[in-house]
Amino acid sequence: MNKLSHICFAALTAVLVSTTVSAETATIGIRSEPSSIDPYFHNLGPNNAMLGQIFGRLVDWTPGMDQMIPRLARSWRALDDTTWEFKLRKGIKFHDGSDFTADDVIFSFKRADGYTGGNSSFRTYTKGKSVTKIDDHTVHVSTKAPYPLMPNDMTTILIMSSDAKGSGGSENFGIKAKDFNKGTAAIGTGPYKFVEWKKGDRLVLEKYDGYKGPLAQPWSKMVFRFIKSEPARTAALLAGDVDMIDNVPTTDIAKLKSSADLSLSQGISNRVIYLHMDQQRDKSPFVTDKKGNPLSKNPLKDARVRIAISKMIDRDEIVDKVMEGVAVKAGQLLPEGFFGRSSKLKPEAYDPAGAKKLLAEAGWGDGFGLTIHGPNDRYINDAKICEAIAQMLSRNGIPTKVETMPKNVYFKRASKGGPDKTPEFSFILVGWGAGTGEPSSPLKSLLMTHDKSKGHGASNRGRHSNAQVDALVTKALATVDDAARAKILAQATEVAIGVSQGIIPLHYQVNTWATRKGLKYNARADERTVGLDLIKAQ
Amino acid sequence: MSSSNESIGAVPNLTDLGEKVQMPLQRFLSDYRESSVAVVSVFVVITIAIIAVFAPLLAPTDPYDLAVVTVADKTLAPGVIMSSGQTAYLGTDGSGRDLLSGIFYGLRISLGVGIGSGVIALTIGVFVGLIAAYFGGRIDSLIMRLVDIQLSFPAILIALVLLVTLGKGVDKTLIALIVVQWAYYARTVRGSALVERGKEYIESAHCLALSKRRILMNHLFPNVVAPIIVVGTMQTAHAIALEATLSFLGLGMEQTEPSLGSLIANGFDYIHSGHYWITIFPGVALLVTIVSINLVGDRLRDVLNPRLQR
Amino acid sequence: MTVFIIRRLMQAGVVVLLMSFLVFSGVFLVGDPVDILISDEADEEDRERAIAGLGLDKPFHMQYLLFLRGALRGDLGESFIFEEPALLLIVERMPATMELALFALLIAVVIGIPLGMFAGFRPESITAKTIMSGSILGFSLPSFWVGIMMMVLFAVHLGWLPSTGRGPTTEWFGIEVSFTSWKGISYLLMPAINLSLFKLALVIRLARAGTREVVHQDYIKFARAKGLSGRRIVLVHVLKNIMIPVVTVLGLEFGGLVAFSIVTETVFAWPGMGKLLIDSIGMLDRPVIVAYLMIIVFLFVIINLVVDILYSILDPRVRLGEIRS
Repeated sequence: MNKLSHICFAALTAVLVSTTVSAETATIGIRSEPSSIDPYFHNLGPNNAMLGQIFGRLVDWTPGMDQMIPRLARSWRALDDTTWEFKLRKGIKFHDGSDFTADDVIFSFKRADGYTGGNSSFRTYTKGKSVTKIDDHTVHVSTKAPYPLMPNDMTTILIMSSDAKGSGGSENFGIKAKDFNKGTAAIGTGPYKFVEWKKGDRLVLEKYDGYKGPLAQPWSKMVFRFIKSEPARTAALLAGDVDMIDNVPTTDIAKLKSSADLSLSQGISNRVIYLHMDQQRDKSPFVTDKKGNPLSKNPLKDARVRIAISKMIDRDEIVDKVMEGVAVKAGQLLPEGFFGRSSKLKPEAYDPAGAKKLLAEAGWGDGFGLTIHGPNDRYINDAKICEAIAQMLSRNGIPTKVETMPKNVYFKRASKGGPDKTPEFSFILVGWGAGTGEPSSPLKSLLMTHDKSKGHGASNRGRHSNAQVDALVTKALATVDDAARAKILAQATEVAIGVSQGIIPLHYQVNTWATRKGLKYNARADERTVGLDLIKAQ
Repeated sequence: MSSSNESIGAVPNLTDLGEKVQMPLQRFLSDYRESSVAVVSVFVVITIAIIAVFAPLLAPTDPYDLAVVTVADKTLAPGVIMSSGQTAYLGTDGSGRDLLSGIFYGLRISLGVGIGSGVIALTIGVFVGLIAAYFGGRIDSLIMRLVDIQLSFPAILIALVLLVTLGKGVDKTLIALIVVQWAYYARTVRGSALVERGKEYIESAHCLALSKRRILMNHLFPNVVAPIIVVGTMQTAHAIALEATLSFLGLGMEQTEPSLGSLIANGFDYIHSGHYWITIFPGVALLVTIVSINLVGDRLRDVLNPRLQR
Repeated sequence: MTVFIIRRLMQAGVVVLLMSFLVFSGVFLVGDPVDILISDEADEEDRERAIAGLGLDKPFHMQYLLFLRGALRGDLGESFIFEEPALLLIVERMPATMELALFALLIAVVIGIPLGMFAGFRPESITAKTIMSGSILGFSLPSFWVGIMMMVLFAVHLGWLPSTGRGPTTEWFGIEVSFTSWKGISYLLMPAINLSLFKLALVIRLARAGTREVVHQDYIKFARAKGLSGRRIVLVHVLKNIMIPVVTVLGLEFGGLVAFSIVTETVFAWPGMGKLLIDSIGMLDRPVIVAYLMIIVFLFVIINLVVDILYSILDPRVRLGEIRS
């Protein structure tokens, strides 16, 4: 009996004590699970974050994304307008002990470029580039037209081992996604090795002892647990089940801040939240008169009306109240510190009187009605932002309805839900994270005239069109000189947003991570949660 | 016909049985009153219904008017004065809505969806169930196969798939809840009607050559009312809870016009934040609604059909 | 008898085929997976490649026929997200859900039967009335609300139990289970209780009704008169009699428990099939959604088939009635 109670007690304490984690293992609760360990299967944030710890890239960003740093490449330079040279590091070994050479780079490029299946390919970054081996540790990458974004693109392609063996087949060099998921092909040069992945539950990485490179290895083992539910993630941290969580809900930030056992890290991201307005159709389905009857004219086609709407939005209130102070007001596509942004554009100030005047000038002094559409599970507080904007516009003479929906329904309708696969809505909320760390990608996708054949304006869901913007962006995309290109990009942004208000920027997302006391997370602008940025606080 | 004798003898039985089945109101009331909990529940249900119907008159503010609701008032504690000058007696939610008004309007939607879907499902179910019971044979077995198949799947799963397909909104939720419920009524009605059909008074009605429609509506239907009332009350409570659950899973009402379920689901975001009122008050309102309806239903079952006690 | 079984099997086949069409077309109507899967920066060409890669460029009827052809061979398609067989993904998650459901069932029976029997023996006592009112609560409370409340109280506030997720697992006859260690059980406890509440209320009611029916029957009175101890009467006679309806109903309700674990698994981040379904709906992983629903359809059809056949063996009238109609 005594023995039994002893065992029970031991078991109970084991349950209670289990919350304290061994100092060598980091347990991290993350919201989004990667979809594959295959580095070219899916160009998706959680994949890129997780796999960057297992595989290396030639070039990497600093956590703040203000600077590119060498990783597997020692150095790079443009030899001429169409050829770039990358010098590779020597003495780097893959997890299986084989040497890292130019062959691996070429193999990785080929597999990424020709990837069959998968969900969204990395061809965006490999297209039109040919890689040639000069010697074991030098490669040349050439393009037909001048291409300034070469190093930026190199921050996206992960390098895998050309010796990796798969289960066979004709596609993707006989290596299937599931060969990576099981671990057999998951051979990289990164600081951590793949151990196991229990889908829906956890992914485990282990320190790679042979690692040579610029990154730190603060943990011997890292366990990533997937906790999608927002309150559950916070609860897991409060209960001490995990050492860190990402995507801390803004509603919980105040509470976590006040806890003596926890600390927070915040970093501004490269993601801008903005509004698209239908500038193509004369009769836009969700622009009505104040009573909700259809209008024969579309006020959103008038730049003055678009600027007026921007002036009706109290960005301070959105940041302070909706985002609980965790966001930064936006006036353009990228926050301060990023390449190619305009120094002139400032966030539009709340100015209801000025808005009224502009509306009257444009002939819409009596106002009109709108419906704002947005996702409710994609961006931080997305549905709440839509609601706040509807409140602000309704107060100022544009009665606005709100319709939010899950992203799985929203994006299809927002891109091609209307007749002839045109965008369905009139006034929508979207976000854009500039993965290349500079404004050419959002300018090209969001503000250039929609042109399927050229690949321009692919996500231009408001169909904004301005010949001057088109010309400037085209010019920037062919300018290799960094300083000159930065200037053109800034100019293009000033025209597209400042003058013609093609879109209305609202704010830049700020991401929040919470750790238990004694740890610190080096917050990243690319929104990634990377275990090796979790360090012991000094 | 050989039964002609019987039929003549059975005619007086028709009225006899009818009276016996229709329980006198007084006896029903005195039976019901035996449980004080059930009596209190009735009053609670009536109060809630009044609040739901007269919400626009009773609520201090209009929580759905976006020109008035402002995010500047978000998460105010109970008793704090809002920017409109009114007091938020139960505090405000994350969008700056007065919670008291939000709960009143939310009750309106929740009860509306619960009862509305119940009434439509009941109409369909009674119709289908009576037809099955009356005609029997192939029609009956076909209908009941369909009912069995549907009832063998959990309601939540059917509603979930439907809402994923249809999208969000009051109308869609209503459709999903109707689809989920009609089969319960059909089965209940058919079951009780079958029992009644076998009784002598229906046989006599047949022999008197009454029209089929008349037999269905005037004789079969009144006798299956009692079980329908019981199932109806329980189903309403169930529908309200189901709507709340669907809202929690992100498939319920529109953001700006929340039902009680979506108010709670929105309040979950604040579970750790210390703004307890956003989750607790709508939650309590929902619980009181569902529990009191269920208590009434439970009592009705005991009183209306003593044999049916589970 | 054989005619009856063949008839039932054919009916079951028709049901499965019909459901597969409904499910497939229902899921087909929702959203566009490519819009969610593809990166923001992809252009039209990449987009079209991805669409073709997923087989979404084919017309609906072709997609459905391809699905049927695969399904006949036991292949329910490959997940869009993971590019692994949808069936495999679900089967991988099945032990977690089954463990949860079985534990919930166990809790419902172990707690529900004594409470229901007590309420049946002394229906007028305060305790019995409390139990019965409590069972109404069990029917009424939306389980997501109870789940979060439990989590806040026991995990966040008191810190007694882990908040979410599944504990360490061990292999047990080739199946991963977590209840073999105390730590594993500590993770399992809250979700299992949460999931069991509804069934607990049901068991209490069944047990009470069964007990009340039995206590007045002659053989119990006889047993009492014979001088059998109260405990023996309870354990042997009453329990034996109420177990039959309890087991029947719970058997039938087990599928419902598995389906309802969708909610519990979402709240407690339990890595089971239900959570997979919700995640797959969020990502529009059509093959997994369809496969999950088909498995549930199959499960229910089988349960019903077995019950029908058992009944027909026990009660030949059912069979005769069926053949005659």
